[in-house]
Amino acid sequence: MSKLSRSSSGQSVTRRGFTAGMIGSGLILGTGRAPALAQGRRDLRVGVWGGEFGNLSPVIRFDIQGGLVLYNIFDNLVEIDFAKRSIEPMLALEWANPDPLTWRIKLREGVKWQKGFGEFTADDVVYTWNFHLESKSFQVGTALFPIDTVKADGKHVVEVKTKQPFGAFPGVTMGYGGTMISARAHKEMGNQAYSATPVGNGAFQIESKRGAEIVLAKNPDYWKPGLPKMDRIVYRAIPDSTTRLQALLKNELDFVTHPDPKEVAAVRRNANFVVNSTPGWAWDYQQFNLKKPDMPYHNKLVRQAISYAIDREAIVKEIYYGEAIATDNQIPAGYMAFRAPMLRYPKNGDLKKAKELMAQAGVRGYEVEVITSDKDWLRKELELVAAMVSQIGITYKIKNMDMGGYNNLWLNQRFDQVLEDITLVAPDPDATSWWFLHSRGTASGYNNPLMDTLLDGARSERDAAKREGMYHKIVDMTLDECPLIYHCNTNNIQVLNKNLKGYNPTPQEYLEKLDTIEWG
Amino acid sequence: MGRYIARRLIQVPLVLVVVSLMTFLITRATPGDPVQIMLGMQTSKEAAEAMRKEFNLDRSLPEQYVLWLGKVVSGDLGRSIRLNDPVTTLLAERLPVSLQLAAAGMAFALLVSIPLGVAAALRRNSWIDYLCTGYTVAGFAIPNFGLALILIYVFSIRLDWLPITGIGTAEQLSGGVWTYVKPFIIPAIALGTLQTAILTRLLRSSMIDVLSQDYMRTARAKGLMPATVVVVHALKNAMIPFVTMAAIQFGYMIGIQVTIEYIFAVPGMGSAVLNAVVNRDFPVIQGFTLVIAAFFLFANILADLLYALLDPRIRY
Repeated sequence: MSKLSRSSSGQSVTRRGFTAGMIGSGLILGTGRAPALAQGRRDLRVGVWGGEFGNLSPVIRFDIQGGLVLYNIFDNLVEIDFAKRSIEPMLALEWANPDPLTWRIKLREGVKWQKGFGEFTADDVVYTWNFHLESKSFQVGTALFPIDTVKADGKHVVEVKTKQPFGAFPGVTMGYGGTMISARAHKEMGNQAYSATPVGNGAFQIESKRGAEIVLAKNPDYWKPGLPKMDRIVYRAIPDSTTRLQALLKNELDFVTHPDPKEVAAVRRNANFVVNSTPGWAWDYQQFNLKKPDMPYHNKLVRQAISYAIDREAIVKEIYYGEAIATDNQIPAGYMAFRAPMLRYPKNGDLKKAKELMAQAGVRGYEVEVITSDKDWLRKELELVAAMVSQIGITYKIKNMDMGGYNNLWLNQRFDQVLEDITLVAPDPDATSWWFLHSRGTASGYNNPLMDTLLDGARSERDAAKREGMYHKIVDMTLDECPLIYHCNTNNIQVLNKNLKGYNPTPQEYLEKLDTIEWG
Repeated sequence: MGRYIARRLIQVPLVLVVVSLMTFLITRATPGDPVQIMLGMQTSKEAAEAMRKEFNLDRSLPEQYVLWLGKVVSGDLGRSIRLNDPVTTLLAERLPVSLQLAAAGMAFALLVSIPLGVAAALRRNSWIDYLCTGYTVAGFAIPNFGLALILIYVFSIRLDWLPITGIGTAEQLSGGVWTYVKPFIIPAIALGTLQTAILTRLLRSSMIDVLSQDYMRTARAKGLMPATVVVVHALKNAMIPFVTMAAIQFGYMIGIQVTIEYIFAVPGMGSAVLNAVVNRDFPVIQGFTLVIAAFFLFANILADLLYALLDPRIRY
């Protein structure tokens, strides 16, 4: 549930491109010029990764770079307060769960759709969620699956009946699934045109979209008083991270996302720019195909041995240049049920323990094919991990594949092991656990009735305190069973002109609201 | 001539059908499902089935191809699975950018290769000839992405003369001539250097060949100005293979821009095709390949026509 694959975002790097980037980073960094004069400016130039933005409609799957734009055109029903770790009202003023299968949502009044498409009402929510359900959209499986029926109760109240009790409704359904479209605009424009130039209710409205550039203009009717601060935002999709960063250093841009971590240290030394590096809601992890009972790793002791053999701190240092946090579990900071990044396995690994577990399992050593995509950082990470597990007698035969080939093996369970990274989209532990560990949700073939019971129970429990305890059990069981081995949470990084004020960094890489940012 | 052009034009759709069929088969034979890539693992079977149906991926391969071809005939290249945009819209955005970049690269190649090739032929075994040889060897040897980085370092970073990015931006399109031209300069040099080397070497050898012809001796014996001898008698004849090669290379440049597009963030066709291949975005791969193939074919036809225009002995 709730991931955006960082892979399919057009960020794929060819070997040639990677080499170019490597050479480029060595040549280029540390030469930033003085930032442009800030006085009087009310425009912002943002460089994001990827080759193109693609769809900008929330009812059709979008890439991360599309999300970066989309979430400045649309507001959600709820927003996440990252500091307080809470779900806060946005377009939904309040919500209640009068019985286990009913959610009543009271909407904010006076919110207008851009470009004269009228007021945001309950009918828009009903239309949006029904459109998702009827078109079997990408969010049905991730956020809207609990919805049985949805209806308007007056102009500003929505009543949702769920198929089952769903404790994560505010975070998952109203959060990730809570971006609404204008029923009137969508009907008049059609799904196709709406996805190219959507009509939103957020701080900015689309002015133009051309190739790898999108221009947003201030929404004059925005419901938050005094916002947005900027009159205009120009987004440019620049696939090469070195080019993107260098364009910032040369004042061709003011704000960039996703710099290469290896280049961040050099930028930090440049007083003209500010680096935001926030522990992110993204993992790197190993996954086993547990539908292969003959494989040595089918024995959980072997999987535990692998987890003990991994020096996660070395991964953070060597692959992410310190711009990540070592973790051994699926609940990142900011989520309900978060306890600590490392709960059971030592940060630097424990080879002695790993070897003991291998001996206990009666496995002397074996070869296994491990696949990963052509993402540069994963390729390097897998080489490092292979060196680590070789010390306990396991030989990783590494296979790097382009995203299409990789997904073909991974999603069809034609693999032994994978190294993958994922961005989590819904701020609820259900999103980080159910799909990865439930027998009906996992690509790894992990099938444990006790885990299924725990996951289903936590999903349907409505008492937050009880849910938290249930997720602690789920995490502890995951750490013991190791169907997935987590390596680290990678940071969400932005670099911006030092004269920019008011930006609130978030751990979520596509949820970067720019309504409060201004030139200081 | 008219019959020749007609015959060549009749061949174009046949070649394009073959190219499209091969592209279709290769994309379908390559492992990877665009629907899986698009929707990821956390989706329902119903959603995947709905998307397959939407893009006719639930039909047999022959049906898929025939349906696609039928739409192509009516000018509809389909819709991108990943971007949700019509392929024709993507082409309308990206083809002009690619053409401009290729034109800029070719302009650089012509500006350098014609004087250099002529000078090297006229001054054989002189320093200018050695310079020409050295330049062509370097032009063949340096990969365009490596040259691009060197140029960025020198002209953008150190000298701060030229921007790194900016092609296809609103700022570029709304500015003056220099604002429009300057983002093209470094990418054009990086893209066109290989073609410069190819064309310089070709023109040099062609000029040397022409200069040794009897009619050149006659021209000089008639007392014509040296410049007239070189430009009117030698260069015009030496340009015949040169023009042919330049036209072919122009078509070729449309297809090899991908690394340059990547480094300079150029929203052209190459990067779109690369992303489409990675994501198995079949309609984009097929549509763009068809257009690139068409350009290559027309570039070849144009080369043949120019050949006849430049050399009256050639008749079709």
